[in-house]
Amino acid sequence: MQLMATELVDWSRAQFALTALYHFLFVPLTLGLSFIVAIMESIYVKTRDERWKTITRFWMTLFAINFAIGVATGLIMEFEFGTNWSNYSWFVGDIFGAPLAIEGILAFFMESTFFAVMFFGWNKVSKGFHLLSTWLVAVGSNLSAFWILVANGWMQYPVGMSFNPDTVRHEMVSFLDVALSPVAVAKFLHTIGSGYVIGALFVVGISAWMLLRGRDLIEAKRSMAVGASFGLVVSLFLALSGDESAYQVAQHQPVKLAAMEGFYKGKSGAEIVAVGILNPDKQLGDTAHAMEFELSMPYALSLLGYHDADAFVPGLEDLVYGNEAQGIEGAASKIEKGKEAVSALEAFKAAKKSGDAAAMEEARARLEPVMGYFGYGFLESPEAIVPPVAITFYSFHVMVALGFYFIVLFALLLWRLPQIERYQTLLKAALFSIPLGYIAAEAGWIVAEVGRQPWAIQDLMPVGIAATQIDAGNVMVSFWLFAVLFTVLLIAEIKIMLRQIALGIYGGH
Amino acid sequence: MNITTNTELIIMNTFMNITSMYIEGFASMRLGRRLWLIIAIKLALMFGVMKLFFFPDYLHQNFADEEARSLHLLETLTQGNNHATDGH
Repeated sequence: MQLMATELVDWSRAQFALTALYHFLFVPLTLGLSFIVAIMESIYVKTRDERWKTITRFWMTLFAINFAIGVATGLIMEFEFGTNWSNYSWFVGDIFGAPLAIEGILAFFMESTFFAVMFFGWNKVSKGFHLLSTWLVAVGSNLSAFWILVANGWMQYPVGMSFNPDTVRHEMVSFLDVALSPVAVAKFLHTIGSGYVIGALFVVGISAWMLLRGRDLIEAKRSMAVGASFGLVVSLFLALSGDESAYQVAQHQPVKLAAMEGFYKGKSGAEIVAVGILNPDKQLGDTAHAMEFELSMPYALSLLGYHDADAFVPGLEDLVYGNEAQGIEGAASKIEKGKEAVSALEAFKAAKKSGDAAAMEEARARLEPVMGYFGYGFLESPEAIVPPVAITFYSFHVMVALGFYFIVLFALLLWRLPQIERYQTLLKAALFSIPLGYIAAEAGWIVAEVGRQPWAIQDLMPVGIAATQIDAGNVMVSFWLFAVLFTVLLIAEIKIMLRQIALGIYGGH
Repeated sequence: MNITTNTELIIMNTFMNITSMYIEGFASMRLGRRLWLIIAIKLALMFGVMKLFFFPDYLHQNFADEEARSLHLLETLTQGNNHATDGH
């Protein structure tokens, strides 16, 4: 029975991870390419140069292919909330529903309306209105992303709500606290930044292919100029927003930060591992070194996490076992408080069943001060708060390394732009960097989501409790159906995209 | 009454214009038909197969009203009727 239950949670988790990761193959290109197309069209409207119009329409067609194939793939996650994660869905109440509803309304009215004008209104509306529509599609897509990330940010740092034991749901107390939570805002900026970089890599990569083939040289070079300029600006922005994200993680999810760095024993003036290999045999509390090999940057982790080179950064062992000298509460103490919260909820249930209003109030009063630890009540041991360290560590380092590579790539492309066709190696690097943007973005999601395990909602609900007790076989079947469906969609997108690119800038839209 | 009718007309016209812009636009694209086909197959699979056979709303399907659903969750959270052993 226990094995079966674990299997169910693992399949439910795998299914959600699969759909989220596949969905995020389509989304970032929409986010990034929409702004690049808007910039290109702005140049066309400003210069009245018909060549810019042709360039804009070419990239807009590729944007349409990605949009058409990716649209609605995110709905599958909403299906999963109702079926596989019903405990979670009920527990979060309207806090999760409100941002998603706003996103749905925005996506439908704003994007779908202006999307039609953007693609099909070239000769039906004025240039100005068309340009406005293109910008509104870009802004609308990004606003949609904002509300999704507000929902995700709340799971990482739940604020602006209170728990009602009577309905067993969280109720929103402050919409602004939820929408403008520093974690949500940092997450939004970093995520859309990764989408912009993917968009820019896509444009410079395809442009590089054209230049290598000697096709549509002027248009490819102009596209390269826009893509590389946009890419350089947004990749620098991505580094800054990454810094803010890390700061927020240090403040609100210190276990995740420690896992990102494979950091076991806390210290002041902590270093960052620039390049390293984890010791796979390292266990919490043993004396083995955490790294088999490392190149570190002194003080950088303290600076990154706390904006202070001498700040103490807690390691996994400090967070699991506590560190009195640094005022860090261990997980064992939190588990005790969590069990008290669950016990108070149980007392509330008994009082409710017997209709004893006074006992219900008493239980509510017991619950309130420890509700923030509620999820810990379901953990068996302090060590359970530690996420899979290796996946989190390597994903984080891959993401960061690629982020810096992109800055260098865009800078080199801009530097060599006047004679870019002579730099074949650089052009090939640009072409083969297209998938690297996706790898970096997916690695970022793995850091965010694997790094916050075991929590579905930070400190309030572990993943094992969030899942619905349904037949694991059904989840397994639907997992494979999704895997097939998404893979077919991805292959279709790549094939249609490649065919359209092969037609060239003047190949028709 | 007239204002309502006019507003309705404007909304209807806008809706029709947007719809026709989509239909004409996609039809005139060289790859429009293929994209429409992909969208249609995808939505049919998602709503006609996935949602229907694999993704019922568990709480709505198994519990009659809000009270029953909240009681179910209360039971789940307080009776150890869970599958979290190590939290993961």
